[in-house]
Amino acid sequence: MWTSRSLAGEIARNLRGVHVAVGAVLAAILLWSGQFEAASVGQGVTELDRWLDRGGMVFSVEREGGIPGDECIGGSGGGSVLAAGGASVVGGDPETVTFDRSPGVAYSVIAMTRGAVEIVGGSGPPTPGWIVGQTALDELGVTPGMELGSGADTAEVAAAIGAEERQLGYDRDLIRLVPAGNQVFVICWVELDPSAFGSGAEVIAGFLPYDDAVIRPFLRTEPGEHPVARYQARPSRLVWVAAGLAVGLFWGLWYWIRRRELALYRSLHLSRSGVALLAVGEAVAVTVPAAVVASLVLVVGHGATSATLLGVWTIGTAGLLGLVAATATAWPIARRNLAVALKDL
Amino acid sequence: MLSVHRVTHRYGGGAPILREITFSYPRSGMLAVTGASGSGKTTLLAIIGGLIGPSDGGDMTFDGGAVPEPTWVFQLPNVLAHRRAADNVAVAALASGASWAGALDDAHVVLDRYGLGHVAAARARTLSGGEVQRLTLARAETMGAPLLLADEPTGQLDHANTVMVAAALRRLADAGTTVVVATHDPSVSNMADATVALENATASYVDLS
Repeated sequence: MWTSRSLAGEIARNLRGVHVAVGAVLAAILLWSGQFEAASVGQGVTELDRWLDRGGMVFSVEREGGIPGDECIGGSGGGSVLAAGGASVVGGDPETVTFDRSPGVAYSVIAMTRGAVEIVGGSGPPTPGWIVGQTALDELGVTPGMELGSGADTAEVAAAIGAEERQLGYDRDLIRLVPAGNQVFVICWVELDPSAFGSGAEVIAGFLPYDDAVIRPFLRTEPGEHPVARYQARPSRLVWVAAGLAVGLFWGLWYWIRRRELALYRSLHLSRSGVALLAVGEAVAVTVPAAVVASLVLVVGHGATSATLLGVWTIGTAGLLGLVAATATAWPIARRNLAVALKDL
Repeated sequence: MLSVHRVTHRYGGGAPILREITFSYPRSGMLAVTGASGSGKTTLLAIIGGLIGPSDGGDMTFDGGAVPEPTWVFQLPNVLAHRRAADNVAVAALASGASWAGALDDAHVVLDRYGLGHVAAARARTLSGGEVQRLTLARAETMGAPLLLADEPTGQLDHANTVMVAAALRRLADAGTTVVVATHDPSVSNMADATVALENATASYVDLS
C-alpha cells in the first residue's frame, strides 16, 4: 500500500531541471500578467491625474467585502488610483438613499478632488446616518474643505479614526489615509445599497461642484462604465484569463506527454486517485513557488495594496487552473485498463 | 496453480479468437503462451490478468482462489525514463509500504542479480533495450507479486538481449513466481516449463519438464 509519505517522496523525486525551467517561465508569465495589471492601473492613474488637474472630481461606489475596487474606478488597483488622485469624501443623505445595513456588508462612496478633504455625509452601521470616523474628525477639528498636511496631524487623524473603528467593532480599517506627496487624502467608507446607485448618485451629485460630461454618465450608469474603469478592468482581466489558460494548457500537455509514466504508476499498484495526486502535487510544487516569486516581485516592485491583491490573483488563478488541468489530464490517463494504456499510449 | 477453464472470447460479433481454452499449470514456474501474431496470446494474458472478461464464459483460478493482481511486462519498455535505474526498481517497493532508503538499498542488490549493477546510477533513458527489459523484470521481482504476465517482452530485442531477458524470466520463475509469457521466440519458449500453443482459437498444453 502506498503511503502518503512515499507519494510525497515520489513527487519530490520526480522534480528535475525542467521543472525549474518551467517554474521560471511560469513566474515570468505571471509576472508579466501582474505587470500588465499594474501598468493598467498606472495608466488609469495618469488619466485620472489629467482629469483632476483640470479641476475634475471623480466619484465611485464600491462594495466592501467583495473585491476592492471591483465596482470602483480603479479596478483592482483602486487604491493606487486614489493614492495618486487624492480623495475627498462625499456621502449622500442616508435618509434618502436605500442602505443595506446587513451585518458585514459595507459600501464605500468615494469622491476625489485634487488636494482637499471634504466630508459631507454618509452612513454606516450601526446607526443610519452615521459617518464612520466623523466623530473623530469633528473632535480633531477637521472640517469640510480643510486641507490636511503631512506630519503629526495626519497620524493623529489616522489614530483617532482607527480607535473609533475599533470601538465600533470593525476589525479592519474602514477609513484609510493615503499619503501622496505632501498631501494626505482621506477615504471614508460608508454603506450604500448597490441597487440604490441611481438615487445615491443623484444625492451625491448634489454635493458635486461640477457638472461634467465625464462624471455625469458615470453617476447615472452602472459601476464600471466610467471610461477609466473600462480601460483598466477589462483588458487586464483578459490578460489574467490568458495567463491562466496558458498555465492550464501547459499542465495538460505536460501530463499528456508523460502519460506512459502515469500509467506505469498504476501498474505499480498506485491507485487512480494516487496517480492524480502525484500529478497535482507536482503541479503544486512548481506553480506555488512560481506564483510566490511573481507575487513578491510585484509587491516589491509596486508596493501598494493592489500588489498584494495581484499576488492573490496570481496564486489563485494560476494555481487553480494548473490543478484543474493536471487533474483533468491525469485522471483519464490513470484509467483502470492499464495494460491497454501502456500498450496503446 | 493457475487454472484456465473453458475460456471463450470474441471481439464484437466475430468468430471466437479463443474457444474453450482449458489448461492447468500445476506449479510456479514459467509457462510460455505461443502462437502466430493474432492468435490471441495477448487476449489470453489480458483475460488471465483480469483486464478483460471472457465474452462467452470461462473462469480462471490461482491456487484455488481468485487470480491475484499480476505484475505486467510489456513489449514496449515502461520505465521512469528520467529516473535512475535504481529508482525504477526501488519505486516498486513503495507499493508494499517500504521506506525509500531501504527500497533503494534493496534495489541495488536486485540490480546486481540482473546484471545491471553497473548502471544502477544511470538514467533509465540511457539504457539499451535489453537493459530496460531486464530493469522491468528486476522491478517485477521487487513487486513480489506471485503472478507475472509478460507480453512479448523480447519482441524488440536482438538475440543476445533476448537470451538475457529469457534468463531473467527463468530466474524469476525459479524464485517462486508464476511467469506466464506470451512469445513467438523459441529462445524464450524453450526455457519454459510448459507451453500453451494457440492455433485456430484452440490451445494445446504441453508440459516440458
